[in-house]
Amino acid sequence: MADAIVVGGGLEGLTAAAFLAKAGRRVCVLEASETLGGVHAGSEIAPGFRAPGVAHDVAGARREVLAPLGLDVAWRDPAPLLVADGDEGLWIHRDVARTQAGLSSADADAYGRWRATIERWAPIVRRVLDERPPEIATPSIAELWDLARTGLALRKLGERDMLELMRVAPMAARDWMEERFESPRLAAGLVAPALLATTVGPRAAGTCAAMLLRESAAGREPEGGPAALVDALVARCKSAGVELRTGAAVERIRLEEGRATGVLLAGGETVDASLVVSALDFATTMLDRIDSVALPLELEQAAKAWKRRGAIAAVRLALSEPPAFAAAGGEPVERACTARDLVQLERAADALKYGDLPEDPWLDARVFPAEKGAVVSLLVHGVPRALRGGWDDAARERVGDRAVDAFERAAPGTGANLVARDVLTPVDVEARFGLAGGHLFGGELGLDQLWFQRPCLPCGRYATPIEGLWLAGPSSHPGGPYPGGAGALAAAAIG
Amino acid sequence: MAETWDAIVVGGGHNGLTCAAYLAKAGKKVLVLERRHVLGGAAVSEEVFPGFTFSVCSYVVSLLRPWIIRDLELSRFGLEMIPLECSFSPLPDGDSLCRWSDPERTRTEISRFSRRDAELYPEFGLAMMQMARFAKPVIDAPAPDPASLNPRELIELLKLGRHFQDAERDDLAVRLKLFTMSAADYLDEWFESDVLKAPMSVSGIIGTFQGVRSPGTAYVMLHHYMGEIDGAFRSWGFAKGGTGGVSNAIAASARHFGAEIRTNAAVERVLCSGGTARGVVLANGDELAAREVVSGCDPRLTFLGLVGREELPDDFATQIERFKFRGSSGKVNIALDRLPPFPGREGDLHLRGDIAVAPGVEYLERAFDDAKYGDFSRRPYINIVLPSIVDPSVAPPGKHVMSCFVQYAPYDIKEGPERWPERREAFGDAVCDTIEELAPGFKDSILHRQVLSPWDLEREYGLTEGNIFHGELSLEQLAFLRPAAGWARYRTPVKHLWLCGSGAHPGGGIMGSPGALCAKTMLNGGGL
Repeated sequence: MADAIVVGGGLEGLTAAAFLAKAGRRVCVLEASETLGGVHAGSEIAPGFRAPGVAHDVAGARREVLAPLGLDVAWRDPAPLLVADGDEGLWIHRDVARTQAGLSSADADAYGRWRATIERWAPIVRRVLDERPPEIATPSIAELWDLARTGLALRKLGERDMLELMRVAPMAARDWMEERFESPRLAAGLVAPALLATTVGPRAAGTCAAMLLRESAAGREPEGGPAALVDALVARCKSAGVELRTGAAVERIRLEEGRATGVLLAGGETVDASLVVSALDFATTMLDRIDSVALPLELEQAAKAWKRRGAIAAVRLALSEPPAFAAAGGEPVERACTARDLVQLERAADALKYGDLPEDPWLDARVFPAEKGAVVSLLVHGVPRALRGGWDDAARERVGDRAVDAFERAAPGTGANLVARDVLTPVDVEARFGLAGGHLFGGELGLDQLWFQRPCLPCGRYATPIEGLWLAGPSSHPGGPYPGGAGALAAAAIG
Repeated sequence: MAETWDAIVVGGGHNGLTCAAYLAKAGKKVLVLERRHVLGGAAVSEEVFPGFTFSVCSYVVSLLRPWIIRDLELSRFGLEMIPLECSFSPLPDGDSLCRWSDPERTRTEISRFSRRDAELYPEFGLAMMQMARFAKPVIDAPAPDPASLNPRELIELLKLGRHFQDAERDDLAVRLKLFTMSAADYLDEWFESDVLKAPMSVSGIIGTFQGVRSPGTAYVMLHHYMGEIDGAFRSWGFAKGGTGGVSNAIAASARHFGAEIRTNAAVERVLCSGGTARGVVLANGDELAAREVVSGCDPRLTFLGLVGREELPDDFATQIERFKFRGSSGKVNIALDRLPPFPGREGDLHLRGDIAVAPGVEYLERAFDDAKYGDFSRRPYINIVLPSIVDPSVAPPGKHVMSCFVQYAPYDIKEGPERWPERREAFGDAVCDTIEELAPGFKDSILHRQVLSPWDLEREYGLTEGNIFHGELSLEQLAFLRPAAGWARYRTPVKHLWLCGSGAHPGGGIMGSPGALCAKTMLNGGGL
């Protein structure tokens, strides 16, 4: 019998399993599909075209938190981001000076100051990302002390800087960008990536918090993309003796006298354990995997209220040749964003509100080499889970067409090299990966679903009111865009 | 400069008057200077058309602090409140929802749309009241200072935290969410009926440049539950004689305590030298000296208009420059021959409260979308009151005054704010057309119409960019950040200059708190 069952073999589940095994526990991971890694798993979209994960950007992976696992991953600096939707564009490099070279002198100045501000704040934000959220409701003396230490770190920024951080965090990204920059494209390029895990546009309060998280978390990424991280975690789990079972769909988390005692598999098999760690999203865990009669009311309410409105379609293109970006000046491009200005981002979010498809979508693009050419992975923001009139094949193809059209403007000639394309709407994401609402990151990253409120106050520290049941999935702090964090912190909390 | 005053208050709005009254009551020699011919600022009653007196700008009272009413003896000086009886929401199909002060009647009304919502509605009210009780200390005291290392300040902060935390875990979770969610999302957690949710959600957006789906608007709904006028229905009310009645009562109180109040006395600038305010210069060139100068104007007008950037620390000036105003609402005041004929309702009982033109959440959100891209809403949210039904003193016999608060009307229309005069009547038409669709025949009853765009509010009432709250009430402009980090306690970087208007903590609405708290700060250790 295993000590701990991890439900769901996505990146967080694997991380939790590896840490638990490292702590000496016997761990069994149960994954419903035939593939480990969930939205980060590699898959073949056409013969000779392997895409390294639907959630294609893992520069937010919590490298330092994962370090004790000694993963066999080559970490590298992410490639520069090309922000362009036609002939004109700009590059955002890790290196401030290189980015400034492409900006007007006013923006170059402002960008330098902005980055310096981010760098000053980043250690505090990273500390929040990489630690277990504080106990808010009934803190012990020790926990109060921890909270006070975080407060003190904040205060050490100096009065002016601390108040500025407190001012900016709840703001709308658009307002912050307007205070700082004149180039619409620069603003769009900085804001766009932070919107991917939300359903809102840059005018929404709290989008600055999403930006701060993103900018502070961005670090190095695994060579080979998300799939490489998954492979390394799988290898680590195996060497630590974790039992990895695929095709093992958990139908129910079994409770006895209010305590989790194991799981029931789809085939009728039961697996017992003293600990059940769910790496599924919060809503699926509570509403689909636990008998509603046994589910405490506060959890039922919280799970129903959990915001998980899928807002992204993933479109993957198999190309016989790498795409040629008009604005790249012949430079190779690995990361691109077709956002033009903040109005375009806002309008895409408007479409979401009413259940429409965006007329003029913006794309978050990654280019990966493939055996027979290249794979372009596109995340299209503004694609609603609840499409007016419902989803069908025609609607899916319409998303694919609009994405290809938008990409064609940035990289003319792409259409002629198109070998195959694979379109995943939020409905497909939900069906394929079991993510409620088709939300790629396990639930929205709005101010009300962050930190100790992720996924809800009673579960904000990985334990749940149900004894023996723990949460380690993307719905827990720090959340889907910051891979490895939730799994590692949950395992640490379990001890 | 013959006479020297203890304090000169610039602007005779309700906060300026409140501040003056408190200072006068403490025995100080106080002078209030008002640019217009009438007192009250945006809390003003004016006879716009012969026989028709309008609450031209602000039109209902809810948050006026009871302790201010007591301290300044406002009832004695003529303040009389008439509670709103109901909240009526007409629908395009001729149906309507009316929420009454009588819970049983409200339950019956709501259950026509959803039985479940009808049962939950009182529970929601209780939950919000409870939270409002928690939030109230915040609006009745100066803003906390999180940057302070002074133990006394830290203890205050800790007390506030305790107060916040002093609840069951469920309550705490709800409180935390309330600050960060959108009004629509928050209501979705409670109710299913769009007909109910839409008029409830608008209390989260009034006066803001936000939509009901914008994060951060749930908290604003709480303000609706914070009022307290004799414990009446949601505690919203009319002041007898219009909202100017509130200002006039405060002015009478101030005069009683010895303050001098002058109208038609426009202040041109604050006299400063060496970073110190020494008095004011009037438009006619007169110079008046004072130990303390208090501004009831908004932060931009005060610091960049009356003081001037050159007298300010650079960092502070930058903060004031980026303080967001962007007014989002207009006002249409209509003189009526008869009451508007909303179908399906007899008599005028349903018109004795406020009327919310908010037939659906999506309707409201689309109204916001128009504004986001620089236009007034083609079909706006309108909050209508007809005070002449309960206060006949404001209209000729048988006639009525209709006050329409309209959102959205962005200050910064795409043609540019200075083009508002050309767009003004089209905006008024959109409002009247919207009402006509809900009450066919309404347009025939219009005798006169006054349309105020945000641009007009700026010019006539000195409200920068037409913002009715002296600056947006968004999280980053509240409490210790209002109007600037480090200057949230009514003091300013200019010595002996104080800010007592809605641009100071706790913000806008006919509350009186900024004025009263400013005066108290001046008197307690403020050197006066």
